Amino acid sequence: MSTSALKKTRKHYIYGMLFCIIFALIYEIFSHSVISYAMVLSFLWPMLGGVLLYTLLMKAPPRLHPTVAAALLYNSGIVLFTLGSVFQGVLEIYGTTNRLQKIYVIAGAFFLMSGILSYVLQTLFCREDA
Amino acid sequence: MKKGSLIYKVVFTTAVGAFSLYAVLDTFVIPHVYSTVTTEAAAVTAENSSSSNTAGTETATDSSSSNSTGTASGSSSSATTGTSSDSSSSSAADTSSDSASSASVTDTSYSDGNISITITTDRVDDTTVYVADVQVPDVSYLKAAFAKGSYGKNVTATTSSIADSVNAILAINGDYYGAQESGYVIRNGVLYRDTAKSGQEDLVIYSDGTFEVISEDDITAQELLNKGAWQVLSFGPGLVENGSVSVSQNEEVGKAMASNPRTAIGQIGKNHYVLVVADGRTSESEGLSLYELAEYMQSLGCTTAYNLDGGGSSTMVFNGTVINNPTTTGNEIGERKVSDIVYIGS
Repeated sequence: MSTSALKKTRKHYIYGMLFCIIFALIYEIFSHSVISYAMVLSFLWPMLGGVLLYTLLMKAPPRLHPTVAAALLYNSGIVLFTLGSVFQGVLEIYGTTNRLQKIYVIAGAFFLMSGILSYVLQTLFCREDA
Repeated sequence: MKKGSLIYKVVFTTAVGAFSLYAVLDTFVIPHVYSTVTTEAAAVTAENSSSSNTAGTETATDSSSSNSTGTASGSSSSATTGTSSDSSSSSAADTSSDSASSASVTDTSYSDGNISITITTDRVDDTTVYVADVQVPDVSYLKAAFAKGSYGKNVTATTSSIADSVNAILAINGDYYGAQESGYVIRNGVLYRDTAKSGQEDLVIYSDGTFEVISEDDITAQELLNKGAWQVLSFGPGLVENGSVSVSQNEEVGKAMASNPRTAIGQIGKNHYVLVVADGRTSESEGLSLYELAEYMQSLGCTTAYNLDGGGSSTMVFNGTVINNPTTTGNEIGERKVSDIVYIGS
């Protein structure tokens, strides 16, 4: 990925982070003082896993930039973890549970690990293609 | 590569969006009926000893094979309830019928040969509290009913409509079992859900009329049934145990941290109970914290008291009329649909 592509992805993460903050703020206003940390802290996924990481990658040499495939897999994982966190918050505030919540965690971990694995293999064996 | 990336994004976004939509609908909207309950309410008598426990004629019939957690079925219901005594049931039915016809009813009281109910209104901590003092000859008059007569998820109706469907004299909302996928559900002597929830405190109402707060970590639902459980309500926490307040000042339900509308049930003595509903979230009535509710239940003389589903669910119905001011937002008074009720009926 080029630096401009990294920059564009980081911008998307900033939007995602802001969306999480605003969504959680509005949701908590109507939650009758029921606090869900999963909801309130959901912005940490795009912030730490997205904005921070891509900021670091932009400063790294191009050979350490991820491939498009690795980035797509990794980003999918972050999206799933973020959505899972928001969904868990909705469940907690309503005072309910749903077995489907774990799908976000399982699928998110799968995509995230796939992206990281792909990145590691790429940096180890295909540096010139990065 | 750019085209492949675009296709991946479209497919991923569509799949995740569709799944998320389904997950939300599955949580809040799509009803899953696991079994249907047929109740012949008049023919119910629970004897004091578990050996002669009569769990009534309530039967549950499977209507779905997707019930992974429940154990209620036509056959298992009869296997898991106590032994019925036709003669005593018929006798109870006759007595109840006679009593009902000679009932003395006012806006705040009900009395027949078997059931005595007195409703009082109290002010506690800037909150309006409705107390129903109930005395019955045996615990079979303290019953539970499901919305639409069905055990399942997202199967809901207002407390007043469920109460109406079972001819309840007095009713309060129950534990909203349908919002959870675990936690024991035993109603009127029938086991519907035996999936334990870690750390969950339940109220067990035994067939001899005694109340006990138990932890699902310590005992299985089947063991409770074998011990003579007539109702098991899974919300909590326990408010009063052995006459002492059993919640701390900061303890709350789940993530709630504020005064709220509340529903609670307590035992004062043998076959003597109180059903309590507190209004909240309005300028007229602030609502109670769990600790305040526990203290109040203790002040009523409860030896055991237990917190049921609160918030917008908190509703008390007496003789077909909603007597409290249920509200979810505080802006509008109106009943929320719930999964189940606890009621007094003959």
